[in-house]
Amino acid sequence: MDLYVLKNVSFKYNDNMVLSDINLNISRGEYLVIVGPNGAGKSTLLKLLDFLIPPSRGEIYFDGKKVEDISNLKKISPYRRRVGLVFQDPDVELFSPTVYEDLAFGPLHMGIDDDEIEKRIKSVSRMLRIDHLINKPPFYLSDGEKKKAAIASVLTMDPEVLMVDEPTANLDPRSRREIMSILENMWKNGKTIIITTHELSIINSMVERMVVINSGRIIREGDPKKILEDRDFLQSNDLE
Amino acid sequence: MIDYIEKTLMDLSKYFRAVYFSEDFSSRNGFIQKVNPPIAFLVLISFIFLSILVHDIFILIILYTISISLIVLSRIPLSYYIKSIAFIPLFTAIIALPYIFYPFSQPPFIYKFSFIGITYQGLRYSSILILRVTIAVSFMIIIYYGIGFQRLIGSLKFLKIPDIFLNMISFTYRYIFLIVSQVYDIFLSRKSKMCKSNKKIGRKWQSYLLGHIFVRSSVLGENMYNSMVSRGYTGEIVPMKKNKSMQYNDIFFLAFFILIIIIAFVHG
Repeated sequence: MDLYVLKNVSFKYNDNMVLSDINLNISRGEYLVIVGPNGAGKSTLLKLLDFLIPPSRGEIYFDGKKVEDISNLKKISPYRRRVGLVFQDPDVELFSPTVYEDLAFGPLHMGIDDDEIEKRIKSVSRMLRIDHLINKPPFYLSDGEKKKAAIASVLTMDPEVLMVDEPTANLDPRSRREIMSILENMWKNGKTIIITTHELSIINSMVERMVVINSGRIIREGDPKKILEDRDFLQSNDLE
Repeated sequence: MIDYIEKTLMDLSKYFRAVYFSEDFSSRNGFIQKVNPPIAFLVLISFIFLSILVHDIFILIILYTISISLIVLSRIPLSYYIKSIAFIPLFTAIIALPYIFYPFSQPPFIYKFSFIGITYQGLRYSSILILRVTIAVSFMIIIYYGIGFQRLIGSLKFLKIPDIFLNMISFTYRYIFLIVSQVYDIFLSRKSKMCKSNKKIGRKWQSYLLGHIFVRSSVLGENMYNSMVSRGYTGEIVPMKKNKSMQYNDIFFLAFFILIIIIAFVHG
């Protein structure tokens, strides 16, 4: 059964149609990349998938259940705890005095006990190699470190679905490789990975399916290899 | 004028960066850090109230000594302490300056100018004001650095302070983090583009900046709220549950300092 089912989903911001008639199914354990030029609606789509904003039209199903009334934070909480979204700008993700407190924020709000939180923070920070940054204020971290800390702050929630908005934006090649390898490992460990990007170079062999959106519409989806070979298509959509 | 505003904003953002984005001292193995946070908070806040109520300079000096001792024992570097409070006693001293002439022309004088003079009473008033402010800020520094922000929120929650109030504190604190870094970056970027100063352009730029900061803070605030909601925030404050149950040393700490507070209050 599909984990996500989006039926004719549209999203309007003021009078601007940001997303139109999105029909998308996402399977459990899938590695999906959503590609599109700047302003295509990728981040909005992720916010819809994280139940942060309601669709203006259409329906979203998660694990077979229709997701409704997302403004009721307590009611939506059981869905949201299964999904983790890493925002494009890590600064909005790191708002606590120390990285430790940022990593603890999610699990604390899930009602997880202190010992388990401590264990998760240790294991995630070791895995992402940010254990030496744990007591530092996020403000002093480099962009790459901030991105890793932002991912770590979501991973401590141990979500079933990990969504990362522009995972490699503003990162140097080494940090890019590290972030992509972290995502690969997460996927190999059974998590559903959804990333958005406009950088085609980061799409590797692990990615199972690619969805291309432009001007708020899905214009193509399928095997990444085939799409990446279609130069004319990519060029016509400002992707090359 | 423009340079002055710019310099003030730049210095403010530098100050926030230096003071609020410091290392986390609350995780150090110091004196205050070992005490149950709500107990530590109650005692420290009582000292602040005491400093407002006491009139005896000698008692105020003792209170100041206690605050400095607690800072040292809590392994908060004195350099941070000085950096954090330096301008506050100085600012208070400027405000208290006219007080040294009080009462205006009545003896006993310490030093007399033509028709006015520095009086004992005036000097006492201004010293009390400066000491009070310095003591209150010193204890605030211990609360902030020694207890730490998250445990402080936890303590306030424990003391049944309403969530709405705690939410306001938490949000303000978080926004300061983001806005200060934004303002700092905007200034640096502007500086890199400026070859020579032009007052007209400068004025225009100031108004753009204020508008930009307003819009940026609103967007950042919304995104930050979304990121909190995305990680399970439901409007309820969930503190770090590191408040251990009360130990013997907490009871001793509470009893000892309450005793000091009572003695100081009675004598001061």
